[in-house]
Amino acid sequence: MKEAVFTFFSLFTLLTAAGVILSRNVIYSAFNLVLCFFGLATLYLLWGATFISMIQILIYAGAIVVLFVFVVMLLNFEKPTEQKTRLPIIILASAGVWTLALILLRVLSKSLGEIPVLETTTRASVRTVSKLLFSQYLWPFEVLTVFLLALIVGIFVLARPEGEEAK
Amino acid sequence: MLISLKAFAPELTLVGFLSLLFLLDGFVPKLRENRFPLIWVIISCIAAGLVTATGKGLSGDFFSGLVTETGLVAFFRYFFFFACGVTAYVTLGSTEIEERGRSEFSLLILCMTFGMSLMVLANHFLMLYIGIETVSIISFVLAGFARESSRSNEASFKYLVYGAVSSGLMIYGISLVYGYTGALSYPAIAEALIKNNGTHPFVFYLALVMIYAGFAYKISSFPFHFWTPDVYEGSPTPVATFFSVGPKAAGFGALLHFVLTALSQKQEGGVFAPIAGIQLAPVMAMISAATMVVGNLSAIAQTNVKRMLAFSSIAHVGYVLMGFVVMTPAAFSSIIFYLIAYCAMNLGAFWIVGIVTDEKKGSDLSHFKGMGWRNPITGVCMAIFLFSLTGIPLFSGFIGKFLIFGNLIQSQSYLWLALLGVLNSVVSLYYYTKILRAMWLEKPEGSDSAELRLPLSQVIGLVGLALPTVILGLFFSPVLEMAQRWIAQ
Amino acid sequence: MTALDFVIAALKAIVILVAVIQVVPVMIYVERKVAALIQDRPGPNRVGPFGLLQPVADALKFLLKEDPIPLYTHRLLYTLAPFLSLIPACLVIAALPIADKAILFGKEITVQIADLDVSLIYVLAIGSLGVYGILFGGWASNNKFSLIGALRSASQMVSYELPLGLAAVGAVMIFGTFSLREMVVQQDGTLLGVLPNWGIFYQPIGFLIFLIASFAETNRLPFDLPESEAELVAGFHTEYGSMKFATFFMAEYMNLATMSGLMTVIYFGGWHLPWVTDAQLLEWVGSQNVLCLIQVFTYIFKVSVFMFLYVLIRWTLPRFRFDQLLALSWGSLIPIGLLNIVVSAVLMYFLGGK
Repeated sequence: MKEAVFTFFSLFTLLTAAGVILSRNVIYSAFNLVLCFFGLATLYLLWGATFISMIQILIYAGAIVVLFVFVVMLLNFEKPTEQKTRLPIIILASAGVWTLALILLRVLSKSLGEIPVLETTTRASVRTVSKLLFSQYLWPFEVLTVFLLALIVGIFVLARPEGEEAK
Repeated sequence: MLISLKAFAPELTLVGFLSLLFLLDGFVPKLRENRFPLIWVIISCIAAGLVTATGKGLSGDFFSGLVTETGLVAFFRYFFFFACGVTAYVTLGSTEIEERGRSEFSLLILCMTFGMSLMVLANHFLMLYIGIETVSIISFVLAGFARESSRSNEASFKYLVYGAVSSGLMIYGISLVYGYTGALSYPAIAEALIKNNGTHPFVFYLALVMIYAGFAYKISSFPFHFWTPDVYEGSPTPVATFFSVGPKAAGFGALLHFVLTALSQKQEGGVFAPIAGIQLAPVMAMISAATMVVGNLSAIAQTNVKRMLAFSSIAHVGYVLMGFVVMTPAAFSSIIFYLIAYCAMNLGAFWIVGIVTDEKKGSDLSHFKGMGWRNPITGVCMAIFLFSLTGIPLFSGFIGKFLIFGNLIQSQSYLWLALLGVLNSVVSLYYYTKILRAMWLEKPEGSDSAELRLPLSQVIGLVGLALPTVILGLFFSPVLEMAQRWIAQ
Repeated sequence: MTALDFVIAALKAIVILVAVIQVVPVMIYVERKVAALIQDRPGPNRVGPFGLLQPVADALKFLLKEDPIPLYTHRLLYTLAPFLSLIPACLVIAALPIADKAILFGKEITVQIADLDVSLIYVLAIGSLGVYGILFGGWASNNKFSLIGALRSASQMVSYELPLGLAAVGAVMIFGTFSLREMVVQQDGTLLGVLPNWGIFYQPIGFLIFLIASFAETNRLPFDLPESEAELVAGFHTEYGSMKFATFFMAEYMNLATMSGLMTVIYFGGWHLPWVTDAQLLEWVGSQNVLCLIQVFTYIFKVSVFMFLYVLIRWTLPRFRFDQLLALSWGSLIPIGLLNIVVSAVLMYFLGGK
């Protein structure tokens, strides 16, 4: 039962991820991205990580992709002009893709049959996550504040309106 | 837990200074002038360096195995603080970073230095990734700092795309390694690998390649070096100066730490050998060879000095990677020496490029015409830096290359690599001297032939970088010994 | 999970969902009547006594009217958008606790579709997905005004998610759990013997922030700019006719019901009667089922109070300008929210326990 659910949602995630790349319209790509994140969230649920799955939907699907969609809508992309791809590039790209496919097939053929549905002993509930976050992983947690500070300053630098004196 | 904090005193000093800068900048507008933020950066770097020097004697794992303190880490700390301080000094005299952006610039390079320390400190993939991302994302912003210049925007965008792809690959590799070894901290990974006794599944090698993708992007080794020329050319020169030294060394430090802790065991005699089943040496040799060749050959065709120096830095990465082929302590201390020498000469070279770019608003070879006669000190310093980069005796670059090639030769394997290195150095002489020829052997046109006067501070700085380059070339033993001591810890 | 469990769960879902959907017609009537009251006019009084059959008339209208699809729209997203709004609105209801256990079929049934231990985050997360219906609806309409309305709405909703979350964090700190059911259970009885043991007395500022943010989240006046009737025709649902428009409408009212539900659950004691604990009630009433019924009614009553409040404020206050709106969120509500968290934490530390 669990395997069936896992397979279904993994396929769902993969298909929507493919949809992101293959969609003709950028907005459809964004929509597929939301669905992909949903799929990922359900996969997290299967492993008992309730907190992370909800946070995934809240932050990724609910905020980040919204910003993506904003930008796309504001920029109003036109349909890309048809470009004829040159033959050498086609050959090179196909070679690369085929190599990767062969590698992946070899990897998969060895491990197919056991679908790794993790048996978790500890549920990654909010309690466990927060305990870990504040004891064992405290340093990365605090360090990230410096990162975020730099990030905000960086955003300000990049998006500062022209000719403004104020901070 | 508090003891762990003491181990981070240098980083915490940095954070303290950075927060103070942030607050001061926000609440005391008068200090937003030209010089204050940058001088503040220099002060903080010196302070952090002093704290590092006085904080000896702490080594081991801290924060439950997330970070380690070794002599190696101490060295890299000095390195980063030095690079950051010099970059701030360079920016003082540069017009490419606009004045009202100076305090943000200072804050960003301080944060970036913090991130670089994190990369080297990391003993756990999580910390490593946080460090890499901090450095990368701040780099994206810094590369695009000159917002009016379309080249700068292009540089930032290219850096971003490359960074995103290689970060993605790296994270995927990390997750695969986690799946295989069940652990994310380097020592635990090593344990799990040793247990498997020489046979690792193919996935693991794939994962290692992916993780290397992340490192390769940071140090700009083949095949993830394609962003380097565009980014160095497009970014404001002080930023390019920092890029060529800081993140590169950080990447090397992190790679060194990773290879030493996660992928190898200490044998008798202090030699490190990769854990059975991992063939580091041939792979590293090939990557090193490819990087060298690509860097040097591409540099020949360049007419823009910044691009040329970018490719030359790629070539130097190739040389340094040679040290990873033979993993003796001597090899590692030679890497460290090379990094020290490289730091001084590259910072100096880019500084001079910055001076020319400031004045002429461009950094093509034609802009360098007659610089030597217009400002002899600059010309002489540039000559010193470029000769050192080539590896001509009398300069530190030569000693560095000698040590690295020597290690290869001593180990009696991969002799072809050492030969390739020497040949590449000869090739690099061609394009370095192209710059020198423009500076000394070509006369500038009419109005450009006025004498260029540099502020005294700049002159002092340049000479300050040139001198060690010469001195290290002659009296290298003390530094070498320090390097060996650092490795031994 | 036995078959019986499955059936019970399905029944619960159907019953609660249908019940919440009934909010829509009631609200249609209430809104128009109260509006009329405030504006000193009779309101709907043609259809049925006192206009009580007005919602029926509206529903018939929606069902029977022509459903136009403009020519140059992006067909797939245009048709999908109303449902993208409706689905999260329906999904969120699953996590709201309506009453405590009822005993039917020999089993204890909690009157809540899904008792998650992270139900608060679930509600916030799924609620934040409601933005997509608006965004895609506005964009797919191929109409500049719709697009502007959609973008405004989306940025407004995203900006106000933060104060909403921050206020919720304050509540989480006090109750020590993310589970909404747990929060309600803890609000039993009295505080200091005088006040009912409700969340609002622990987090008054949090409640205010939550209230204001919820107005913005549901695109309700005074944060009504996206559908500003005077400015942009009807904002993002300009191009939508009959049933699709009705779907957007339903989604909006269901969101209102959800937000009201959240506020009662977190700040007003959910199903508890003030000053009376559940145990006392159980003694007085005798049967668990009757108690459950009382709890359901209490909950519905409290939610209705909030819904009435929403309608009242809509017809009383003028609309915010867009930059004022954003400044309020980022400049005032978020700092206050953060301050709230800090102060709550400090107080909790010094007063110990609760």
